Amino acid sequence: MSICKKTIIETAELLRSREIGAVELTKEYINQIKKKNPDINAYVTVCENEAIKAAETAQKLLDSNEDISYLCGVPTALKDNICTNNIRTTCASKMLENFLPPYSATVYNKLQKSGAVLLGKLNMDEFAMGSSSEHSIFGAVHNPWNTAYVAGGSSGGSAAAVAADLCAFSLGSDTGGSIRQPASFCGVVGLKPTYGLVSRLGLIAFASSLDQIGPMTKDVADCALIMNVIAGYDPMDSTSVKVQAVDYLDGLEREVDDLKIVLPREFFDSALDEDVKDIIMRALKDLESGGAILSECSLPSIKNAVPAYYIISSSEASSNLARFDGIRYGYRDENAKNISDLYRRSRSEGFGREVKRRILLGTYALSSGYQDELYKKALKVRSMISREFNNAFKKYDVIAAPTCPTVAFKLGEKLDDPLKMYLNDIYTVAVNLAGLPAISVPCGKDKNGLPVGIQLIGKPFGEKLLLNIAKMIEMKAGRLQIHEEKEDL
Amino acid sequence: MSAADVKTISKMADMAAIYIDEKELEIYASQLDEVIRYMEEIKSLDTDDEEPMEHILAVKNVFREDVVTGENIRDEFIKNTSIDEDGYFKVLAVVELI
Repeated sequence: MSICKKTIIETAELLRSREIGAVELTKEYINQIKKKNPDINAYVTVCENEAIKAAETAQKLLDSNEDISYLCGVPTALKDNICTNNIRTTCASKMLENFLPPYSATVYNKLQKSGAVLLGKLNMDEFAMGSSSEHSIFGAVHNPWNTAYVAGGSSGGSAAAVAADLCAFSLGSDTGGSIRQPASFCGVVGLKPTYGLVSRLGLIAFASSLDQIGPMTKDVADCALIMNVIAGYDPMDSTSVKVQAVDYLDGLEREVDDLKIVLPREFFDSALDEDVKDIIMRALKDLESGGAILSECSLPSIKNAVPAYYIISSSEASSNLARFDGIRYGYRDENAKNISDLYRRSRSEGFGREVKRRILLGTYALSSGYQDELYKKALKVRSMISREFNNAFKKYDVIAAPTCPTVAFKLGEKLDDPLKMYLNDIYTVAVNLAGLPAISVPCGKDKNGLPVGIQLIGKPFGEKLLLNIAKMIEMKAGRLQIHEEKEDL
Repeated sequence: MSAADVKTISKMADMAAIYIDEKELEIYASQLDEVIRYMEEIKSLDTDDEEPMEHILAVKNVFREDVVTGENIRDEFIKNTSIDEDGYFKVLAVVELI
């Protein structure tokens, strides 16, 4: 088995036992990227020299035999909206094609401090707006399970890189499902943490009240491990929450007694593909035979989550993206006649079509005459959704649902139909509106061999229980792995 | 009646400081019209008793002592602009001399 197929924990053991050196491991991954990335297009930047240097430093730490992190020497990659000091961070946009961040995101500082080795930056939908990673100036990400299909989005590169063994783990960001949906499409584990648990400093903003950074990993234990590193209060993020540190890895395989799981009917509606439903139900039945109690409930406001989400997220985006004026950073038009013309030309040429659509939609929802009936109304719907979730959690421990209504769709299939694309987020957006944690775990493959993910939604700061249940599912369903010969596709 | 016609979208583009040519405007208008119609489904909901939720957390100002914590990294910031002079960002004339 290629070393690149191993989980973080397996890799860490090999590094500690000196079966492989950190530099050798990094070179192995770089070779793998050179070989496979042309077909997958997960990486937009590979920082080979910096990675080798970081691996050399990590090896010194490993040789010192000091108390080092599991991540020391482990190769990783980050979604390209997470700022990395002096390593270009593009948001997959012409607007930021040459942007060199003057500082690093807190999450990257934490990974660096743990000795993780950054291999490069990962492809995504421009400014994280999309559900297929096709809206990128670098071209679409291809699903490693079948390259004719999308990898999901917006963290498509982060999911595909982990699935194709082009990094040991990655980080993505999730505003309306952007970690969970690509994780589901690519057969990897993806966790969207509770709003405020992971610092957003250095995450280029899309919709600030919804964005969260989270891990994308080969298995559940790795996901818990990364949460141990990236979670925690950051004084530099005004929405960061002070909570007691939790060891997510500790007791991951423990039995959960009297586990009450609820299946809201709105997540099992007519939009849900029958094949996907069968696979999800099989995973849930396994939990039931393990002693969990399954119930049904109704969360009626969920059906309004997609409109409320697109109104709120686009409104916040139109405000957040007003900062791109071509002056201090970002694309600048060279032929402008005056300052107003400079702003307009730079924005028109720098932003792609989907980003402009969201800015226009947000401007519409916030403009005089529509603000009360659209934006404020959406905020009220957000209250209703949040309350319904809270009420459900008074009776149940966790909510189970599909991550997506279908498996990955074909490249180009929904590109010219924005509404159809938005409706793909039907089961993920409500979680962001309510700020809850949710994980997508692979639980099987459909008849065409494409991965299916199950989504578990928890109480605020209930990540530990989510990981615990995810582990139970993984133990039954097994880790999904792509075989080079594709014999089971 | 359409929710978003060419005229409305043209106005939004102007407010958002984006140029969109006429041909593109028609495409944006037809796509956004469909999207906005779908979004407008929430207009009919009874939300009179609901408070708008802008943020999931009780967001408040975070204060700290006014002490210098970082270094002066002006050059780091300046290097991302395409036109600078003497350590400043350079813009086109804001006030025109007559």
